[in-house]
Amino acid sequence: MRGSYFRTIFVKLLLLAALPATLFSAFFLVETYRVGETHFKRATDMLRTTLSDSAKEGLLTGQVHHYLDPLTDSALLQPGISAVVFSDDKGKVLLCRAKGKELPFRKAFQSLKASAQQTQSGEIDLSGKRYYYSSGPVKAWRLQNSEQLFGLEKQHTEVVVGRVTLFAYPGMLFAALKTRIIQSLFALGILLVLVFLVALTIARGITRPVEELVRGFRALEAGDEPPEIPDPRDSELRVLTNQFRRSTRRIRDLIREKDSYSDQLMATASELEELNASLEEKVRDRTHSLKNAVEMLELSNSKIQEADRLKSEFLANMSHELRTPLNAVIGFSELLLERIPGPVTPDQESCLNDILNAGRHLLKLINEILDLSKVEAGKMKLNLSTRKIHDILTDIQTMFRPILSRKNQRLEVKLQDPERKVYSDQDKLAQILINLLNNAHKFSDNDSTIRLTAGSDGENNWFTVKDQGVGIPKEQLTKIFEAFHQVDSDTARKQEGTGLGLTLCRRFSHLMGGTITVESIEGEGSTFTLRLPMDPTLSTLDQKKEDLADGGSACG
Amino acid sequence: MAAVLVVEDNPANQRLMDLLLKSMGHSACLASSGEEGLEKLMESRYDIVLLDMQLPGMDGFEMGRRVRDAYGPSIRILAVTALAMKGDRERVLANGCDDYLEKPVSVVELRKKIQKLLEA
Repeated sequence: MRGSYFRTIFVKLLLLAALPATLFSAFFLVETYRVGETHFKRATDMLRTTLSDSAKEGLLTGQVHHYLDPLTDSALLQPGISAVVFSDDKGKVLLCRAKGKELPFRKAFQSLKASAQQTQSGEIDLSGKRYYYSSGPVKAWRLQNSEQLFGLEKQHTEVVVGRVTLFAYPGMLFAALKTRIIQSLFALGILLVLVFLVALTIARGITRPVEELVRGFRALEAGDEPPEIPDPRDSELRVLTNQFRRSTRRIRDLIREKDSYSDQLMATASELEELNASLEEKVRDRTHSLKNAVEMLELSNSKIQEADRLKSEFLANMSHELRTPLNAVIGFSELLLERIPGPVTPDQESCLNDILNAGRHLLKLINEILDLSKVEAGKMKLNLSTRKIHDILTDIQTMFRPILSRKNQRLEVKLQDPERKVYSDQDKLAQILINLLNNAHKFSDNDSTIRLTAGSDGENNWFTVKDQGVGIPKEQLTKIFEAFHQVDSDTARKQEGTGLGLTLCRRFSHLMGGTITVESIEGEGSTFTLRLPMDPTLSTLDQKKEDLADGGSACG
Repeated sequence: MAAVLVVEDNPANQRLMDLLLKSMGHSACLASSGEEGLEKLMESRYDIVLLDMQLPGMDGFEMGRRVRDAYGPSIRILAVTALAMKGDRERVLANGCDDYLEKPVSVVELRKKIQKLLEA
């Protein structure tokens, strides 16, 4: 494929050679013409001068035809001379001879109006042809009559006797020029052919390797195998070709490298894609299972809520169903003990007391279970108020004295600061203290002393209930706050108790932001300490958390 | 001596109330349901109604309302009920009852309440 590149180079080379040659030829031709013309004009002028010399006699003597005819004939034989006109000193035409018609020349001569003395030459258009004319005076020495007598040559004067005018047409010059032009064109043609051939060769020499290179590059670009490129003659191009070959090899290597890389990349990409797909699948699976889990959770949540509702309902029903028969049990026991239906023997009275106590115990159990479930459901509300500790302890003492008397026990109450007040739920505080005192009473021997002490340590108000009872084994210390737990079954049977008292105490103390702790030495007694913060509302939240945290063990 | 109507469906508790009221010197008449209680009220005049809330048929709440609507404040109503959960007391007092006593009752407490209502 011979591309435009070849054409461009070829045309440029052609122009480079042909243009100077053509210009040179043109210059040569013009110069030749100019030189020829000058030469022609000078030849015509010289002929006129010669004719002027030769025509003296004829003009002087007035024998025009005798002298001037041969002159004219010979002049007209000269190349390019078209017409010869002789005129006298007044400008009158004496002789006019031309190669063709004379009349135009005669008229032309008359239009020249040259002054007699002067030489005149120029160009004139005659019937479409441009003629050169050369006109000059014919001078001769004429003697004065008087002076001739005395023979004095000095008295000779040069006078104009006539005029000779030549009309010349450089036709032969044009013919010669035409020949030259043809020669020149011929030479130019040969030159151009040569130039054409040379340009063709050079252009081919340059363009073929370049085109080969271009073809190679295109092949490279298209990703094909580049063709073999023959060595160009031109050394520069050879360098280029070699460079191309090296580059091709390098590029081929690079392509191979790239291919292997892209193979690796493709492999990696497909691996990634697989990984991605499996990841998506995993995510889908996880999402699905998460959704399932959420649904399950929602379901179980609603189940829990339902269970909670059922539990509350159950507790309400249980409370109601147990209270109805208990009403009869307690009521009749009381009536019988009051001897309303009739007399009662001491044995019967003892039995009736047992029935009454059992009934009351059952009632207490019911109430405590309800309380506990309320606390655990978070439904227990605090009813906070401020009261003097002294007053609280006095009330408790009064309430508790009849119970103590059963075992002939003493209650020692100590209060650090009689004016001190406590901000708490008064009912729950009393419930806690009575519960602790009840326990102390139950688990202590007859005639022992129970000590109730109250004080404060800056952050908390504290209450301790100390007994001289059986004490609690170390390993049981943490368990006694759990629901339905008593120290051991033997004691439990001996000592009545719901098994919920301490659990409720701890829950209530937590509700108020406080704690209950116990220290005990087996056989020597136990000390329970209740600590309540000065402002229970501030620490309630923390305690609730703790409450939830140990809720499990408390229920277990 | 006051005329007392005991509306109570549990026979043991009926007997208990009967015994207690008689020991206090009051006359006691028994009804086992709301409908029966209302019939008894139409038959004769009573000073106090001891009303259980959960009854077969018409319950204590409805009967309390009806008694209050029909007889005004002339008849005192003491609810004696096993409904001891939070809010029960308020619900009872909102349905025509003058006072509320939670089962199991203490005989001493019951006497006090009845006395208080009679004096009021």
